[in-house]
Amino acid sequence: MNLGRLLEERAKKHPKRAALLYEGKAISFEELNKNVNRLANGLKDLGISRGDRVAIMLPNTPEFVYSFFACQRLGAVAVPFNTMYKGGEILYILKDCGAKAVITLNSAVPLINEIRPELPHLQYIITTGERNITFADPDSTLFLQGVLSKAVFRDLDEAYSRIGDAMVQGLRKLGLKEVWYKHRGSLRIRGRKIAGFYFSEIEDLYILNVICFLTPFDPTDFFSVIWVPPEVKDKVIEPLTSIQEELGKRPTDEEIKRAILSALEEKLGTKLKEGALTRDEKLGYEKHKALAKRR
Amino acid sequence: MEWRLICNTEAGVADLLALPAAVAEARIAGRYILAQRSVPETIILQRVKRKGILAGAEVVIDKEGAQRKGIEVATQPRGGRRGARPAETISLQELMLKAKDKFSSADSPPDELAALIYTSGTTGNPKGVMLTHGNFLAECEATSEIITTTEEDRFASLVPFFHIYGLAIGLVVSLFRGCGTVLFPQYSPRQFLKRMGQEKVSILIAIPTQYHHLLLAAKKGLIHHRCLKYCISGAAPLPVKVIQAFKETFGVGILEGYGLTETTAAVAVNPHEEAKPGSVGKAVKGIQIKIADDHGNALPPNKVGEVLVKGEVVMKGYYNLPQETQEVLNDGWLRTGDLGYQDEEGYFYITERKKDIIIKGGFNISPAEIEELLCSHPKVKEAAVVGQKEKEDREEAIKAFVVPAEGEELTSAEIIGYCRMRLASYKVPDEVEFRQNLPKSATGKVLRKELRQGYKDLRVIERE
Repeated sequence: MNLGRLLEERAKKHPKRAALLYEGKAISFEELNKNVNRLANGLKDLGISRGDRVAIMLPNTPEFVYSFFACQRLGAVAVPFNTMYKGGEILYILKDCGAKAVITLNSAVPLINEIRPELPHLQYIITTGERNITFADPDSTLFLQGVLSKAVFRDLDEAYSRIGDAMVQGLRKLGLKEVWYKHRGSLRIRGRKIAGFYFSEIEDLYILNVICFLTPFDPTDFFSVIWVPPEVKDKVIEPLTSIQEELGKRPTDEEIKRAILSALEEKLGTKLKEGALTRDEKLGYEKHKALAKRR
Repeated sequence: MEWRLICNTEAGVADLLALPAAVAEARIAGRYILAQRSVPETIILQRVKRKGILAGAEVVIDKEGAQRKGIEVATQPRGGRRGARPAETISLQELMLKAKDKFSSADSPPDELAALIYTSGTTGNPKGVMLTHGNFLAECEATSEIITTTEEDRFASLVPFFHIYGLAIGLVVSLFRGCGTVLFPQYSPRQFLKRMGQEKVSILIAIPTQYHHLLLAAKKGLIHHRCLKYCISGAAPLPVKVIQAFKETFGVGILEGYGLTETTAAVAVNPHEEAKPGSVGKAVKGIQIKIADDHGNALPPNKVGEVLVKGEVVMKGYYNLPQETQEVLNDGWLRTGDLGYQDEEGYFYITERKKDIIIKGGFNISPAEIEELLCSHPKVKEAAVVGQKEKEDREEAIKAFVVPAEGEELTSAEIIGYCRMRLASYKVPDEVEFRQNLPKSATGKVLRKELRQGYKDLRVIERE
């Protein structure tokens, strides 16, 4: 008997009995067993094999259970660790165990991206979960987004470094001389985050999302209406700073816009021309907006 | 080349999602409809009119509360196969979707590694505890006489599965028994009390702080049901007072266990009927525990010595650390580093935990790790960190003693902010005290114990 076989046997013995109860739904032993098999096959296809270390940074969700037992089925070694960990802590564990893959929440990807260059063994970031949270505040937050063809950049690394450079230059133009940027990370001043960004992808497009703090951000109101899982809250209360705090004054909207957009034009070698949505885009926009509000 | 800029400075929070999504969709569709002019590269600048939250589909939001506070709420779609996803990552769901649902298990022998669980020791860096298939199965066997289950029973673990106690007992034991497990990825006492009755939870796996919180929530009149059969507490000492109050409120006692990551969780549990307050109970099935002197010789009852454990649950060793492994493993006996004694009836009492480890929220925190970080601050000369409790019911708090570098001025806020940026929140000191120097031994080692002076160590269980 081993942990891989354990579930197989339970599934044979009482297939219909509930094994996991999650958000009002029951997952039977049979289903659990099949899901574990699916993930084991999926990991195997990626080249994960016996003895390989697979890190698991997940809260108590069905995906944690699938991941842990898929490892057992493969004879791989599961390395579960604290979802509250930050950069250096994650780095130490992933480095020490030489994990080939890490299974985590979508929302933890920026944390791992920031340390990825120091993890030559880490081949795969496998993600799950729908636990992202964005707080928008009329005074404090500025969002810069992009829908860009992947062909604009050589690769994702270049995409991150060019947008990072552009943001650094834009903020420096405003007088923030101390701002710095690390690989795929956030823009920081004395360790505090002033802006952050990440890329998503869909087909041959990158979707860019930048958030920049103009004035001090106060999350109190937001936390009073949202039950924030520890791993997310920890990220949200990451020490922040803002343009106003750093400069002692708040430049006008026009000054901020001009500084950031002109830096973007320079670093991306393009000209930005203000335009509007096409008719088709407008239809899509109304649809997406309605869906986002209805759910 | 010209790109399009869309400025929307009066946005609703849903626009943060809807605008880029619409542009992306049109671009993708445009490629299939050759007649249409292609959509240009697009940059979108947005500011919102009102406060808003854009949340993933699994985030729980108090929508009424949001409305009262004037906060707009928008939800992201579930990231189906066609949605945008973090660049250069693999979707777990997609990985599963494409794969077959049959797989024949590797024939892992009992001594093959199943998991590496990182734990903080007395020295700086965490160590990877190597646990085997046999270790986990032995733990299932070890708890068999403590928790007796039927197929009707349901487990709930409020302890995360990345913690050995949650993993070995909350997850593996429940599935081993063929019982259902109710999953709580975001634990809140309120939510648990509600769901506990709905899902008929009968076996609860939690840590002392959580029992304390459940009690407080129940006292506030929150509904609870008398469905609990067993409650297990571990990872930190449980105040006797909490056990009594819990029994009065929930009609069930709490079984206090003792164990380490290195022993795949529990090796001793206070039995249900004959529990002795303040004790961690007797060794469980298949486990030997002895109280030994410095040479590993067993001591007679009521003599305090180091707690040693032997049995199938004992780890294979520390990952890539043969030296450290050798220091704690000898002839199958594991040196826990904890101090305790045994009474005439075989009940064990733990008097001191592994030297200076701080236990907060069920996690082991190494003072050395925090000290090392504090010392990396340019204005800090030296630092020492201790755990302290001001009240029995309270969690252990982290107190940092800091000696500023020559001629430097420092504030608590500066130190706490520095830590917050670099450590998980539960490791950040709760209190900072500035000193001119630190008490040291002849060999120059900081005497943390003396820093704790004046604080009565309430973790020590007094003999009546």
